[in-house]
Amino acid sequence: MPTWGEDWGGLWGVSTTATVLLPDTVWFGDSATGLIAELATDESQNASNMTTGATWHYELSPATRFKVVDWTIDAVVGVDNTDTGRMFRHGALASSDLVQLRIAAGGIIEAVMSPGGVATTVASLTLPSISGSDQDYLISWSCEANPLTTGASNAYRTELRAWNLDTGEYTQTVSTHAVRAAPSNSNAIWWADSTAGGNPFTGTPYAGRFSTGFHHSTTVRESFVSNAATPVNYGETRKEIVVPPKSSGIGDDSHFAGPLFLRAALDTRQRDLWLAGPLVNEQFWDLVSHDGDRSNSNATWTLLDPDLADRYLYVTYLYRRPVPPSVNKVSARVFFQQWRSDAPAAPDEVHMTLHSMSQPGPLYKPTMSPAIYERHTSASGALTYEHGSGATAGAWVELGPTNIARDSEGFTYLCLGFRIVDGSSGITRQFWRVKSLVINPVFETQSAGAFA
Amino acid sequence: MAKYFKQGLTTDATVPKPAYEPFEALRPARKGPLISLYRAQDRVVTMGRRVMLTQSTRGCAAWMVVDTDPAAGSQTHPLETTVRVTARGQCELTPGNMLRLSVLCGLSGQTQRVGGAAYVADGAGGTLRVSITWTNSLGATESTTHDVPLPASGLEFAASNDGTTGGQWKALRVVEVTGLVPEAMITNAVRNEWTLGTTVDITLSNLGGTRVLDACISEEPFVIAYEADDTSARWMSHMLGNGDPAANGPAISHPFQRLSETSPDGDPRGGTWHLQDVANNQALRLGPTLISWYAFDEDDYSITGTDVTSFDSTSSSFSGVPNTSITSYSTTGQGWDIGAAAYARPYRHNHTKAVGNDGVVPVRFRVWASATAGTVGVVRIQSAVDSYVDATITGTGSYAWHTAYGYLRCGTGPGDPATTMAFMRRSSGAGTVSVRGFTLYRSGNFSTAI
Repeated sequence: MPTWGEDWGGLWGVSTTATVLLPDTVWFGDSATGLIAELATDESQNASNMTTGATWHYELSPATRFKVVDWTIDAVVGVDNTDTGRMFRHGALASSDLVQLRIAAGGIIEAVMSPGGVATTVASLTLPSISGSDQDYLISWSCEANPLTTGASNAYRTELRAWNLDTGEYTQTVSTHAVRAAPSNSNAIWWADSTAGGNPFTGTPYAGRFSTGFHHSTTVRESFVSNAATPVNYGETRKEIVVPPKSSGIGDDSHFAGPLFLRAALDTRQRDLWLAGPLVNEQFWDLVSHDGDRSNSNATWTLLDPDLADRYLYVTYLYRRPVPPSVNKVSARVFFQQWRSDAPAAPDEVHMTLHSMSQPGPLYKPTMSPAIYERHTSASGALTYEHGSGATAGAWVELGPTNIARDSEGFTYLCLGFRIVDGSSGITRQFWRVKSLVINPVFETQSAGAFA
Repeated sequence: MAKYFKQGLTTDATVPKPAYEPFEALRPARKGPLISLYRAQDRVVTMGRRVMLTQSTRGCAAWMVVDTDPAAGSQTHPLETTVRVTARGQCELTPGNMLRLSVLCGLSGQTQRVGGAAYVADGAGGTLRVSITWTNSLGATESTTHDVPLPASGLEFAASNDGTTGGQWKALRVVEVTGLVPEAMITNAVRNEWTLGTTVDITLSNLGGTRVLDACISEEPFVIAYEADDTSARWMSHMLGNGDPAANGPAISHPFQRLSETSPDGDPRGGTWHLQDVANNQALRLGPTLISWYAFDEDDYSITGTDVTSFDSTSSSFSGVPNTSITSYSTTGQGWDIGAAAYARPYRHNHTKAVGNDGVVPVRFRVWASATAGTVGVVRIQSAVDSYVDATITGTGSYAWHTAYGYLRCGTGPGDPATTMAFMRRSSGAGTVSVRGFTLYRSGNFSTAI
């Protein structure tokens, strides 16, 4: 069985870097074959096993690890549309602190609580592509305080999710409800509703996990479904270095201050890019079909670059945007569509570049521009796609990090430029569209080439 | 009596990079690195320049205001008085920041007026109007309107350019308005009022013959002020130096919990408790704006119109916004990208054991939409197959902001894309759901005034 740091993917056939045992996981039991003795073995850091029933397992009252008001309950199960029963319960049915995850016929998943002492379904969904044949599903219920609350009745929010592990489909529902009443001592039961096995789960349980905090869907997916591939970051990345809150007591009198200062310094160093959002994040829908001789692009809107042969700057894609002071590069992603009207004639090469300028092109110098026109240009690749002219056709093109030329106000002028190289069939039948343009801030260290 | 701490933030700030080596084990305690750390916390709010709202041509290569003779008799040009809404957004301000407007434009064209039974020329010129409703943490509001005249064309019929190749590039102009504020920020009480949490509802409108290439409303560091007894959850800067972040702070001789335990009007600064509060508040509340979209389209906007053409749906199936041919999410399809949000990943939701090669941020999704009374719609923002946030549009027949909170996958940083798409559908009722725009920004799990 997977343990901390091990590869859960060995069980599900996926490459895994994240684990199922998270810092707030207080219960995790699993079995590749649904054996209850294996499922009742606690692999979490608590390492406190449960008592087994015939097809269920339980922990007698007080079951304090489940006495929380924020949680994430994950269950991996094999079910068809006839299966019913309870997957997890903590809290008494007739009291106001009930937490119950259950399935009804038809693959209906219900998250049940009991505000006011009456069992109430606070969220439900139908498992995607549920059928008469057994399929594997991951079901996840997360609960946390609702920041958009307007009163006690919607003080908390629930996200109920389901992945069909056989088809890759996903669905979720979000609802609001009252906070769970202060949890009292109670039995906790997996795969039934009572220690005697009432309302048993009729499907096949493969795993159950209980965590004491809200997990978003990406965390749950990374634990049980699939992992993101290792990214190739070309600039610096940032993430909070957690500073223990005041309630931890680490900053109180009579404690060593050094560790706290160290963590706060590390954390504050992450904040230089914390507020840096995209400089440009645009989609276009009334599209210009640019052509090789620029007749559709409006020739008065395009300008031959005085320094780069045959390259035209397109004023349609010219922006003046502020640059965060901690940024030294920008990178562009373009959703680009290219086709020839006489396909399958050989496509022309479309060379697309991002320009960062200290003024809006070479012809006009606003008062805030520096005396010398500064301009940087991204590397240009030869694009020879044949996407066709369809409404959804195209592909993302990465233009890579580009140095920034700023004016005296800290703004930069960003523009796309294009150059066409005839592919032997004439450039007048070569068309392309820009459907999305995203320009993101980047900080490169010296070793990454920022000052090369 | 209130006791304020205030810093002006308009001068250039250094990047917050406090040294951490002096705090490592077996190092003697020194005051200098500690002061640097407090000051670095002060500079965080000056690092943003967040783009809050924009108006571009949206990829068009033609102006709404044409170059033809305005004395044609029929209406061919806009009236000087017609207010054409081109962008809306709603977002929380970074504490200490106010707004500025940058306009990159072509020369404004002709307007018309009704002269007897026909439309006649009314001169060249155009105005950009910035209307802002400011709401502070107590729910009190201020409304401001700035009319910004844009330079007019002197060419025949106030043409946009001289007709030569690249002619539009000669006709570019830049107009700026800095210091957009809700009211005179003279007293510390007023500064404090707008520091504790401000939501801005911004509307950008065009009047007359405007030819706007890129209007951008962004944040600019301005002034920040806290009162000694402000609740600890509100402090987003340490405020060590009074005056500005680089100013001398109070004398610190040894580690404190805080400088003064007096209540009221003590001094929470200079100690470990405030250090902890500020670090946690910054992680919870600060973050970038990610998408500010409005359905503006330069060359399709009606010269008699007062707002953009909405995207409408009467279907129970999702269709894309703005590309209505897209019906489901794909990482390889047309969209926006929220990869920059990875710079603001909170530890709690991005533990290495949980999301080793990925990232997630909390977001607020504010949608300007309407639905027919009795009809309910859904507008979805999605950055992965299993990562989306739905805003529910409850039908009243009128446009309003509809807000949702949730989490979106954002990747790990530069080079790790996070393609983001929007969809809409009708979920119940028989009417129409209409969307004109939305704002998406990183924002943690805390309550706001609106």
